[in-house]
Amino acid sequence: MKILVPVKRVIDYNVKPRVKMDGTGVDLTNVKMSMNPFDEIAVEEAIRLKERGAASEIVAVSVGPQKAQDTLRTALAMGADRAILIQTEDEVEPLAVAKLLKAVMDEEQPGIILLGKQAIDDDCNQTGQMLAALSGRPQGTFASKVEVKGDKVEVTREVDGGLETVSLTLPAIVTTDLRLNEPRYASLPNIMKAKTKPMASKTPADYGVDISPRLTTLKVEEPAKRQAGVKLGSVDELVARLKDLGVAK
Amino acid sequence: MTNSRYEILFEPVRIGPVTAKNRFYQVPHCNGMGHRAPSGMAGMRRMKAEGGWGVICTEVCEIHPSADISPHSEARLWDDRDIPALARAADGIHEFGALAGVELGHHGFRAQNRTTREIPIGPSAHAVASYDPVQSRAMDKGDIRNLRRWHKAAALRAKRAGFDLIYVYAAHGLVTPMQFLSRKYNQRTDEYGGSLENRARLLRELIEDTKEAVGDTCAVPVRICIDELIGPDGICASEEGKDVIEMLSGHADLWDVTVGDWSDDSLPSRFGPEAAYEELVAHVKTVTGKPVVGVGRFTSPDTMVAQVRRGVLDLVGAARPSIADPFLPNKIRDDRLDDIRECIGCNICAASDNTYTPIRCTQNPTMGEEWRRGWHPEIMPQRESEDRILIVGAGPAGLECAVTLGKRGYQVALADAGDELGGRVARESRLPGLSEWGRVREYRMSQLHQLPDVSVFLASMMTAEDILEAEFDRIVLATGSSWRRDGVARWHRNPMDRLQAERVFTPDDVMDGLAIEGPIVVFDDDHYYMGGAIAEKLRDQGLDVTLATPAPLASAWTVNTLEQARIQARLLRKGVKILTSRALTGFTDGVATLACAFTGEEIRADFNAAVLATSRAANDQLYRELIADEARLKAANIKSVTAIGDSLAPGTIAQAVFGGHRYAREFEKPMSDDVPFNREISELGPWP
Amino acid sequence: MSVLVLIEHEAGVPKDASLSTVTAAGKLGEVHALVAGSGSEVKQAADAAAKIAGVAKVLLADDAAYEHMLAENVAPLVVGLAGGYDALLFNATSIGKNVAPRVAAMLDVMQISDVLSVESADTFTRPIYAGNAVATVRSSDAKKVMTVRGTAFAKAAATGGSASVEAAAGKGDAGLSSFVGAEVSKSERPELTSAKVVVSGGRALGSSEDFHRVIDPLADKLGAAVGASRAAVDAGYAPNDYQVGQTGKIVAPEVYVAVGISGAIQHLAGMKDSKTIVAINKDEDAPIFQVADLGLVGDLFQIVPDLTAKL
Repeated sequence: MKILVPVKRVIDYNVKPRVKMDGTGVDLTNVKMSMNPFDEIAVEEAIRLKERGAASEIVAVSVGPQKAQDTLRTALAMGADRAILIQTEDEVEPLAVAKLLKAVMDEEQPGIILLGKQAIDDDCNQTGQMLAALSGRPQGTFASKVEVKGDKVEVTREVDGGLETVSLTLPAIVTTDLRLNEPRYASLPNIMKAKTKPMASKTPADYGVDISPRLTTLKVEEPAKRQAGVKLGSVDELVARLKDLGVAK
Repeated sequence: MTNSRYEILFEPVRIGPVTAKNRFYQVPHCNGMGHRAPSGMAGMRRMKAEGGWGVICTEVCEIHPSADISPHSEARLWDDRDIPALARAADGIHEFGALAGVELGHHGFRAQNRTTREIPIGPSAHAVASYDPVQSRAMDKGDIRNLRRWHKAAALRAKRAGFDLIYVYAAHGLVTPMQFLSRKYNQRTDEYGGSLENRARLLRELIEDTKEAVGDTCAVPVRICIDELIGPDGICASEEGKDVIEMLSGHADLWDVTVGDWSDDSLPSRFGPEAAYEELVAHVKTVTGKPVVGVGRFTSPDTMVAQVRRGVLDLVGAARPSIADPFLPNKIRDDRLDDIRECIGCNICAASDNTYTPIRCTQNPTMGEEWRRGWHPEIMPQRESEDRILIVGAGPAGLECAVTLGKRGYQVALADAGDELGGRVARESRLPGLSEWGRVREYRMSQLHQLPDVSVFLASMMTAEDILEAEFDRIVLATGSSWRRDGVARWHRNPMDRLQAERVFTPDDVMDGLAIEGPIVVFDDDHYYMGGAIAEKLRDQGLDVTLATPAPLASAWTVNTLEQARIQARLLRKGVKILTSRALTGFTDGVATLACAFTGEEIRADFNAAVLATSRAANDQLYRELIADEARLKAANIKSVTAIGDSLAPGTIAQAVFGGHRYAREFEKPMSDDVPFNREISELGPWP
Repeated sequence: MSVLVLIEHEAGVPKDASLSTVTAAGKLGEVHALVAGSGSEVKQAADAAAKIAGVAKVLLADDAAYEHMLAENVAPLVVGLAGGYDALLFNATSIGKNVAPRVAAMLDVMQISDVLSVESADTFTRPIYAGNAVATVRSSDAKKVMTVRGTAFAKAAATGGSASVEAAAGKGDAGLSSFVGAEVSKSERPELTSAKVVVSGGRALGSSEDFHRVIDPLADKLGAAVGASRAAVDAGYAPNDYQVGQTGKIVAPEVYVAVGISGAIQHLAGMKDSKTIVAINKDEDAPIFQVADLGLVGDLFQIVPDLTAKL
């Protein structure tokens, strides 16, 4: 079975995002970029499935600028076999990404498509679900466990209030949550070796997908500062409030 | 755009006739440069002014040859010829709008006068505190008049040199007015001894003299010990400490309050937290309306604000935090809190003065190098080429090297075989009491996150082949060192032959978490912190531990970091048996032989295991492999292969950080026989 | 404009998050509620939804295919009804986040996730970069699909409405997925970075023994993970991996209880995104109270055991 793993180049999660004073967005000049952490988890899960014999080939794909090659190389260093860069300097919305991935799916015919549940820059949490809709396939979102069982995949999902397990017929789309695994590091020797793995370069036009955005960002601002709350008078009051919050019985 | 929370720290404060532009006050501190390296000292003070401190003081300034504390090199105002050196410091401080303070001091009976050969003087006749075979004589009225005249002359010279604050120093047990104040040293029966008022008389007179001489334009701060920390026999903050301030409040322009001796005032992080003495210091503002400054290894802006808001201090005093980060005030002002280099409380700075060498700092490798090497802590010279550099090993040397190269604009790859950055710092900061040392790693990691051209690779063990194929122009090996298993250090220069390998361990094994059963003998021939810390860690696990060392003290070198007494006390209280002046000469079949360091006579004792904290071997195999084949390096287009830090020669963390920093600044420079730093040569005197 | 809201329900009662989404929907136009599920409970839920103030009509889709709200089944249901609506709103909950994007893609529109405010019929604000920034976006799609952050909108009153309940025809089971099982949250202490509740102790606890003696029982009662301030870790009262802060772990639980923690900036950096911050400290000027939603000034050695006992 082939596994397709889309990955995105985003601001490094250690970097504190700074909102530009002119309201046009977050300042990304000279800022460290890395693979979206949820995507690292997806790559790791794909590799583990391959190590367990459930998959034979892992193909990493990214929609992004030329530098997204570094992100793909990281995926290759972790253990993916092949990479595809769909190059564009424009910001691409989840709907357009999903359409591009559908086209790649049609070409590659993977059994599982493993994505991070959301990107830490736009926090949309849509791409995987949209891809599932466009391809008419089932979706297992916020996965904390993935088990291939014959022609189905069982996905345990993190939901409000606990866990839920669903069984999906393959091919299926799975999006990863934090607790699914702890990704291995892409070591420098492996990064060097990854230079010999195939990396194809395409454009959205090659797939016939219109990537023009539907949303326009009018402005980007800092969030409202957290206000000081109330000082309570007694432990009993605190107990009552904790009950209201649903953390106490 | 200061976070409004910290605005209070940037309020001006009136001190007598002068006004400090903010509450950041660098209290007097030694620096090992002093009168022997005046431009070095001036350059260091100037850098702090650039960093935003409102008040910057010199170290203690000797006012007269009758109290010479050589070989310590402090500031000096013996006569007019000493003025230009101090004026240089004052000018540098003024350049950025800070006030300049000078701490005039006379060391009384604590001055051994090794250079001047004068007889030390003090309130009563006492042996000097060191073991020099020297005793002081009790001052008579003539001596007191002399001291007052010398102090006044020095104050006038200090004013000519341009200082805004001219201290009267009465703290740490080190100086005459404090020696008079203390019942421990003052056994006089005249009007300068006995009651608190009498014991404070000399101090009052000196303050009045100084105010009279320079008080019109200069502020006169008083540095005073408010608690000797020796219990009811000494000055206590809630009693005499408070009373003397109340008594003299009308005289001083500012109270610079301290506690105990130097080892208390500069409390190492191993023995106390930030703001350790708040409870004692809090008494002071209840009895005086004058501004109060004090220290507490303050690195957190929130703690600083709290001290002011709670009415404990008016000015936030700092010595060590200003050493670790001369730009602390500016970084708070600019809301760059992530960029603050926090003091780790290791006291390697104090050790510099105690070893009579220019100050150095584990966190700040440019400390002491401002003038002599032209190093700026915040500004790195732009890169000179497009060289791509691979650094193997992310311990303190590798981290500092990567950060500095990154700040210069170079493309860097930092590779480490492990799962975390930090190397020895990550490991050692897990030893008892050394948790704050982890900040060496944390600060550099925060910097790396802001350097997109520095890529970090974990789980990346690099072989020589990997390095040759990696396509970098320069290779830096920062692969650290490992504790030796053969006992070699200062006592044994050749491997011990009577060691049974299976029962012999090293600090690396202990830090790796290897389970070792007691009773254990820790043989310490390293003499810095490791032997003691290992003994403490094993003892905390409930094991029977003996610390044996050929030195007469446990962790002997830590007298320099002001920790030794506390270390030995802590180990003894925890039940570690300490055998000093004993060398481990063998350990087989559960029996250790320990030889007397003087007679060689051996005693035998039963142990289950021995931990050897002796010396380390550089992890230089990779380096040697690479440089062995020059042709191969040339074929790979590698311009240089350099070892730094412990992998060059094991030393302190401070030395490793310095080595990493130095490589990053200097690697493009060709090899030269020139002295690699500026120095000042003494002026030849008159000759017949 | 007309708006369709997917109502989540449990045991026949609409969930609070849905009441907030109804409020958001009300800003866009006439609100209809879609209640999907199976059995007597879904009928109860539909009747309850009809009583929500501001709901004009309730559509009830009763089919075993919707029992577990599988997105493959629910999305086609919504899409089938979408023709009559200008906007389709979902809660920003695990159900809403699972279903909404599938609906959006089927309608070939972009989704606006985690809406914080409705500025106009086509303009909304939403958080980006983990809430470090807020973006104002305008949608050019004719039909809007969005998930709504419940805490950003007041809950509509649960009574006062009198809408009609209509049956809605769905497409049944798509045959792509099936529900296997569910598990309520485990009772053992959760992991710090993913816990819903965190109780952290500061240096004021004074010793390793007291740290555990005071903090652990409170954490147990709340099913919380245990954290610590850097000062507490430096002093050896708590292990390294408990450290919350800039150089420790970054957490964003529903509730963060800071016990004896002053609230230094480097600690705040590690927990400022917690939904509700509770602070217990004897210093009323401690910076933690600047960010705490609920504060209690006093001796933690009195307050915490008392609190633990009363929970």
